[in-house]
Amino acid sequence: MNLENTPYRYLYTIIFSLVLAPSFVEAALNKQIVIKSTPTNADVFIKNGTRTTPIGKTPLIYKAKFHSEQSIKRVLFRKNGYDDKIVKVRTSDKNIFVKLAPYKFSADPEIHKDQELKKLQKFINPIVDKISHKLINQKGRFDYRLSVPVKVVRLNGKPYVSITIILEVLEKVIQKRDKVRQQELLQEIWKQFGGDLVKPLALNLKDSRGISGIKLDVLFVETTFRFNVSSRVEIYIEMECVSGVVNTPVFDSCASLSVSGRCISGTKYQPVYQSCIRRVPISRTKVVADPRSSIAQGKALASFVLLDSSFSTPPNSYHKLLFILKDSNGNVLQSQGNIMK
Amino acid sequence: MFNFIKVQRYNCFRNIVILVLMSFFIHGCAQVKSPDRFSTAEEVFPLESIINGPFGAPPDAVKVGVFAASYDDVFQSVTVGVTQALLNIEEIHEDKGVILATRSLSIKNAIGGQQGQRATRMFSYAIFLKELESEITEVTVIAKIQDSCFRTSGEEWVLLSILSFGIIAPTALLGYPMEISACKKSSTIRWAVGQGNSIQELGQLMTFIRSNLFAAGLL
Repeated sequence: MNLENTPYRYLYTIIFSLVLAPSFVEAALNKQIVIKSTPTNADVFIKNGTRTTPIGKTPLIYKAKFHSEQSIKRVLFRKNGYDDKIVKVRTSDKNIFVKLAPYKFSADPEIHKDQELKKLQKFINPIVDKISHKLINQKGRFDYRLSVPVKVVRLNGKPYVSITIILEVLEKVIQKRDKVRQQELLQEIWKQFGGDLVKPLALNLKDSRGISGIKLDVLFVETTFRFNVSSRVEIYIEMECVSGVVNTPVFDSCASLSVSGRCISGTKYQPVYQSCIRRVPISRTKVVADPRSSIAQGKALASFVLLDSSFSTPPNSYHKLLFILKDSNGNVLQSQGNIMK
Repeated sequence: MFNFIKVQRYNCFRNIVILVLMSFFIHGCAQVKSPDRFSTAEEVFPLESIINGPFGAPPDAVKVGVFAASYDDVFQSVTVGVTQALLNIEEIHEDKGVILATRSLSIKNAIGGQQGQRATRMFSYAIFLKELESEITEVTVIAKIQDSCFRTSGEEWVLLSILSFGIIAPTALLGYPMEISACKKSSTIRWAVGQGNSIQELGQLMTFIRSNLFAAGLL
């Protein structure tokens, strides 16, 4: 059928375009998704590989752009005092409702095999959770999250309450040999974490028996992603041209002379320069860029111990405590008394 | 009377010599470099012709990897990986799942060049993402190359032929088109195979993508 002469040729063109177009263009799907959470006001992020992009706070309407009908998006919910939650959102989802579980600041008593520790853990848990949840919105110099649950541990045979805080920054003064600045740092740490956590806990535990002290460990952990490009030399063999002169037959109208002295035409060999008369193997070197990535982690530690004798009057200055400050290589920078491990 | 003709013939010959010498001086002994500019990655891989495959690439010029992660996660990891592999991103089409990138390399002993003369080899890469399932994504990388080369200018051949009184003319008659052909062949866009293969970079890119997915806690 000759389409060019039919009155329907434009119609056919439109039909062909409609049928073929989707195969060339991968149409992205735009969807509106209502995102809610309990409690509200949780930060919502879209996670793409290593990238985390904030999109707002709950409740919100998210205009999602999906690659195709089967695509998914990872949505991260984060609220201080609650466990992070990642939800996979599909194109079919119109409403997302997430219930965030409150973060358990205290450890599960069942982790202890020691019956005395189990009993003490059960005793301190309500106190710890009450104090810790009040701290959620308190701000100090250090932005922190209680990453490790508060638990009862045995140090030198005696039960202690252990609080571990991880700060995702390595304070520069720890790496420098500046004693005065280090002392200032220790005072700032004690002021914030001692005041926020240790002192309220100590006051609540002052009449209890069995707890010998509270140990506060502040870990400075800094992860650095390093990317460097080194180069290496690769040797390979390559055939290379050698230039030279080659005798080539060239027509000459007077290649030789007859007896009578007349020119006789013929072929004469003339030296002619050629850029490649033969090939020889030559070893060559090539410099190849070699990009490498590495992850380095620096760790430093500041520990404080408040003994039960000071529970009723916790000091404002860290000088009255047992303390130790170690750099990322484990060297002791500042210390007082014998800190138990 | 005949002297007049002699003068005319002399003038004609003189004009030709002047013209040849002028063209020689204008173009000089400088070699002609080809191509004038390298093709962009989009010119090498026109989107509409390759987007649905099959790419028809020979085994050395293609690398395929399948990752157990969503399209969005893999796309971000690929974008980071391409930069880590020191490729220069020219275009990103997230909706089509295509990233076009290039890499230039300085190569020794260029075609038509003098001993040790350096030329540029341009690698063009097209990276395609295909969502096989909601959490399975296929990444295909294909590579093509284009070399720069040198050739003797036509004027130089003519001049050399004249100056050698026709001795090298037969060689020139054969050599000139051969040189043009060799230069044209090397400056043509072709699959990155043989000496100009990019197997190492293709493998390295896949390693970077996998590492980035590991770093994101997805594998």
